[in-house]
Amino acid sequence: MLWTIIALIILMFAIGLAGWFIFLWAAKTGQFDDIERPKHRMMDDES
Amino acid sequence: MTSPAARLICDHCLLPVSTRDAVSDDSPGGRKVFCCHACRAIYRMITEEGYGDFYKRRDWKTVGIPEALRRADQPEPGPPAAEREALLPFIRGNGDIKEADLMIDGIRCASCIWLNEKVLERTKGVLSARINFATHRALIKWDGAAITLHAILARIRSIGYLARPYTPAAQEEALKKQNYDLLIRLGTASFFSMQLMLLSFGLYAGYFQGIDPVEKYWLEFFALLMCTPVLFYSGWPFLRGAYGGLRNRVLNMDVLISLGALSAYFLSIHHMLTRGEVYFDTSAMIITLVLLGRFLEHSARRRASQAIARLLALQPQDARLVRDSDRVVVAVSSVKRGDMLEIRPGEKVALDGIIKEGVSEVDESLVTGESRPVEKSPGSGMIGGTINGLGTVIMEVTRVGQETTLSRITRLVENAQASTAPIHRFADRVSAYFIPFVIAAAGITFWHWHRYFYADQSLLVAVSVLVIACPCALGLATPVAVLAGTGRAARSGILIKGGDVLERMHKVNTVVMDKTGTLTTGKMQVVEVRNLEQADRVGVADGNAVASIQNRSEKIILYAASAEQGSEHLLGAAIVRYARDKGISPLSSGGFQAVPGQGVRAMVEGKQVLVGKQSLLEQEDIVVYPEIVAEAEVLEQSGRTVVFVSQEKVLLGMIALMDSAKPDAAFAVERLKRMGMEVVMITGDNRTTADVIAKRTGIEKVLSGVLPSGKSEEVTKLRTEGRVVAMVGDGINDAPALAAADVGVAMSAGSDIAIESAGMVLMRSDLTGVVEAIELSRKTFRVIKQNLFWAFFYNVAAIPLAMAGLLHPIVAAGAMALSSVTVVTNSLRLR
Repeated sequence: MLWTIIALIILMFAIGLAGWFIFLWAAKTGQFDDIERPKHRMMDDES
Repeated sequence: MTSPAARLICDHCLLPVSTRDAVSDDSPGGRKVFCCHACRAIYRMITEEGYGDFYKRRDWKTVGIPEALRRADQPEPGPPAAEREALLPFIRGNGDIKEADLMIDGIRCASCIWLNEKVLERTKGVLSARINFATHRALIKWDGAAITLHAILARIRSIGYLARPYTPAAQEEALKKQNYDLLIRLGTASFFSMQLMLLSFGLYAGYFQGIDPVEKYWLEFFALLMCTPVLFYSGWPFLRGAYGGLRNRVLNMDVLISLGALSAYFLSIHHMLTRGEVYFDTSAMIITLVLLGRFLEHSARRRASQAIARLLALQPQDARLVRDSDRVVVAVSSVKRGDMLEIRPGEKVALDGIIKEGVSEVDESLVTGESRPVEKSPGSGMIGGTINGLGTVIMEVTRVGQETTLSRITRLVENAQASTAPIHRFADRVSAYFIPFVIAAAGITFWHWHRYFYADQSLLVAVSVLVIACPCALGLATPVAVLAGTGRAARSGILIKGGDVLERMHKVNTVVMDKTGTLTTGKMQVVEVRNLEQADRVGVADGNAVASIQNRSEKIILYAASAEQGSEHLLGAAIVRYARDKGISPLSSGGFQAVPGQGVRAMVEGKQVLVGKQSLLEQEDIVVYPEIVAEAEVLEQSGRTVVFVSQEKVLLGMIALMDSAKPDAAFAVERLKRMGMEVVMITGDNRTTADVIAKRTGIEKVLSGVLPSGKSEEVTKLRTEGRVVAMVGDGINDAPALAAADVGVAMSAGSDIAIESAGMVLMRSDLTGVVEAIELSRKTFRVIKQNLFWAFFYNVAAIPLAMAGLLHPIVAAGAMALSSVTVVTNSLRLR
């Protein structure tokens, strides 16, 4: 029981950590610099 | 078989169409032929919207979308290597891949950005173009071997936008970095706090249902692991702030936050070792919520600093230098005092100077807010950044660099923004009383327990008082109310740039209003037509005198409007509009000729008609008698602009025009007065002109004849009298005053700079928005005060429990959750 809980906590932590790294990467590459334009970009025509 | 159908050309898309398939439509401009109903519908739509000129003006005769908009394989003739000297400092990158920041003027919405990006991406040699939606700034990457920056700029200009290279200001870079730092800290805090909350829920359940001590220990251990980065990384700014505050003997918000978070953290570690309850979630949530509040505020404030960048961008980047008979385009920075510059029609004046040759009219609305173009002749001064009208002039440069008028205005805005008193946060003041109280409570608890109960537990109990006293919802109290308040304001057309603006707005007791464009419509209107034909003035005793005067006035308007119908001049347009309203249809005219700064000449039904100033008439040897001149002067003193109308050397009459007060101005002023505000009008115009508008709107205090740079001084003077001042204005010349006031309110129809320097923007041009904004800010601030009360209330209520040593962790958790929920729901009442 105890080891299940610890394993679950570690698994949860790993998933959370992955989310954190994705966030750090996103912030570093400027994904949050302009949060208005991309939602319009998807309406653009292709090419 | 019939003969091959005759081919027609569709009037909209220019595709050939057979007579059989053609759809025709009888429009006012004659019979039009279309290839399909869609084209007909679009044609109708375009003409009905008043854009019928499109069909006359489009300069392509090919089918469909013009080639120029689709693809530009041939950028500019000439070798790409010859990059203009003036542009070099803005280009970065080695080798062939170059990049530069551009500021693009004229962008209004998402489609503008789309158009610019698409056109640039299809330009050969451009590798990528990304335009920021909020800042209108573009980052362009291109292949230096295939295209020049100059060609890219020309390309953007060809689709109707104005682009210029741009280097981000150092201050703005710093703000951007700060914002990034805050984002990382907030993101980190959020992720770890989320993990921590999951563990805490396990511990809460364990508290009620019982839990195996070993399992509890492990849960606590992981909670400690999650809490540490939140407290010491994300919470670092608070810890540093608290340290700084303590060293200066100030008890600020940071001290309260750090005290709560740190004591909860260390108490929990102690409890972990002694089998007590832990409060890691409290510690982490304090930091996270306060960070969230700061982040929301910071992003709003960042936009304000862009005002300065925009001001700098108004300065033209290059100038046309006169060298003997040659004209050389050079960078503005290389122009020296005493150099001669040529300014062509429609161009921006590069620097301040004095005209040596040529006559023109200059639009100085940038600096003076005056919408009427100013007449310029040799000897008159020119201001850098203003827009030249119809004539080509040569001027001698008198001021360069930091001394130019534009740089001075820029500095004024910068100073005013920097000197805006640091926001005295209400929460800071509350915590100034609250912290000593909490520390005293903890001290008394420690002393009392040490003296009368168990000495070994006294420290622990005292720390738990500190923990429970820390108001977690404090970080949310202000930002959430502000968010709700600004959201409510946005729906009624008022944009507010931050919590501090709302905070100062509710204390406002003096409203300063700019005249032109704020209290008035900024548009000229015909207010009087006077008949000056000699026969009538001698006073012919005619039975039809009244009728004839009526007809005379109509005749004056008829000729003036006929002569002005081609005019784009402000006054001309006002006369034409007046004629249309009166149901007078203009006669056919020709030979239209605008005389810059003086008026127009035109042939109306074969007779020469002059509309303009006295000087224009005198050039044509028309005598204007002194008593008529005196009459005109009387009118001009009462704030009107007078133009004379003559036909074939005969003076017909004069037309007086005036900028009129907005219909709702008097109502808005009345409401402001009823709210206990003092309303002050400020203007650069003379006393008499100002008084006319003041009387009409019911304003008693008038500051007239104020120089553009003096407006901010007047505002500062009012502030030193102890008033809290809101400034309402719209021109660039108002920008320093807007920034100097406690709250600057800009009209959306105003200039970008005014909008950026103001804390508040009214999207509608009526003044009742100012009234609503003040009412709303008062309401919001009331809610903020209530929020702060509730943020503290639960914690204060729990303090006696902690002092008695009866603090249950569930009370701490409950106090934390309840105060947050109360604060958020209370704020939502604003919506």
